Amino acid sequence: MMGVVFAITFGLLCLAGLLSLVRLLLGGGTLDRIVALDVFITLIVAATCVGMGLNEDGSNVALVAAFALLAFIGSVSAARLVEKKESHR
Amino acid sequence: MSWLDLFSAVCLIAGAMSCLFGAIGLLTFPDVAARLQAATKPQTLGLVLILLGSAVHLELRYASGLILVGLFQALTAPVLAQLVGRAAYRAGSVRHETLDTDHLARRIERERGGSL
Amino acid sequence: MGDSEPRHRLARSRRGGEHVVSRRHPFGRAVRRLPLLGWLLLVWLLLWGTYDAGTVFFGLLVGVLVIGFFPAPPIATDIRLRPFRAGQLLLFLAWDLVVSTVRVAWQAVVRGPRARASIVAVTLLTDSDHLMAMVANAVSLAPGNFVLQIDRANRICYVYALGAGEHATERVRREVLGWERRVVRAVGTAEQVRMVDRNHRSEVG
Repeated sequence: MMGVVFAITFGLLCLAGLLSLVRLLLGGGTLDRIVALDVFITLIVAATCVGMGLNEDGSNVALVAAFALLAFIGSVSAARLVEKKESHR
Repeated sequence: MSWLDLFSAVCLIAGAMSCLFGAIGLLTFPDVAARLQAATKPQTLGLVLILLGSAVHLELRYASGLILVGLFQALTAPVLAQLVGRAAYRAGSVRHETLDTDHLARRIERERGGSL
Repeated sequence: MGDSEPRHRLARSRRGGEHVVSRRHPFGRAVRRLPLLGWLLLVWLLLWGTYDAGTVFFGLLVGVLVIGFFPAPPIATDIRLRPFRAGQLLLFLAWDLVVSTVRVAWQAVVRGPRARASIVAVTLLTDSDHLMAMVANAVSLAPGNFVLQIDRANRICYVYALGAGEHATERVRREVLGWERRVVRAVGTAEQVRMVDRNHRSEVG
């Protein structure tokens, strides 16, 4: 029974990831891509956590936390860079 | 299926649905600012719910790390929204025809007038 | 706690709107870093997931090294934590997050590209770095809003909000001030609480 739940969860997350990838490819602007990439990374983090729940093994949880923080730092630096570039123009 | 499993199942599915709606918003909203709304709120709620649902299946010592992941997301999402929103506004990526009131534009107008 | 010293410092730092911290007491500076050290230790413990003396020791060691090697700019803070009110604030935030998720999902599916918005300037009542950051974070999790730009010197938040017209402007202003009230009641000083309560009464009555 839990197996079905995990399968549905993974399916929904994969669909969401696909949609955010479409936005990443369509773009609309650098900032749109940054936002889309951040969402995608959040989805990866979520899926990894679901995987840990499925395997009942959470020994990599520190890695996931570090990954989530790195994603934030990356997105923030990218956003600041875009802003700086715009203000120089 | 125990109560704990039921709780976990509800959290996981609701969280994944929330993430999915966030991604749909990311795709359908007209400009960066509106897409940011979709990127921050449903994603944060979705991730927190999924963390809850997964934490039930883990030992306590690993579940505490998941609290940290959720905390980071809840703290960082608004910060990112503000940074990207500001950059988008300055870069002119916010569509002005979707705005009815814009106090910031008046302010920037005034600042430009003052600095010249 | 040496209560008179910080109050004196605050009174001085209020003048320019800038929070300048005196560098006279190196011991006082170390005491002010304690909350940061506590937070780093908490993160360390949560990461390891084990709560024994050795982990605490190494957590403290790493915390001290981090603070020593990467000194954060010292910011004067005047935060008083009220646990009950803070818990209430967290519950409110969680509920708002659920409401905003449903609303954003509805907008995404139904309105989609035709969504409309406003940018509203809201002047906050309180003058504190930490309170302002917390209000901005809370507002950004509330339904349909996020803070686009902060004018720290004039205490103005520029809030991007889904929804339109004069009506929306007033609603956003009320919402932001409501969040400020909740945040101040959770962590503000008694003086600040009186100020937001007075304002709230004059708005309602």
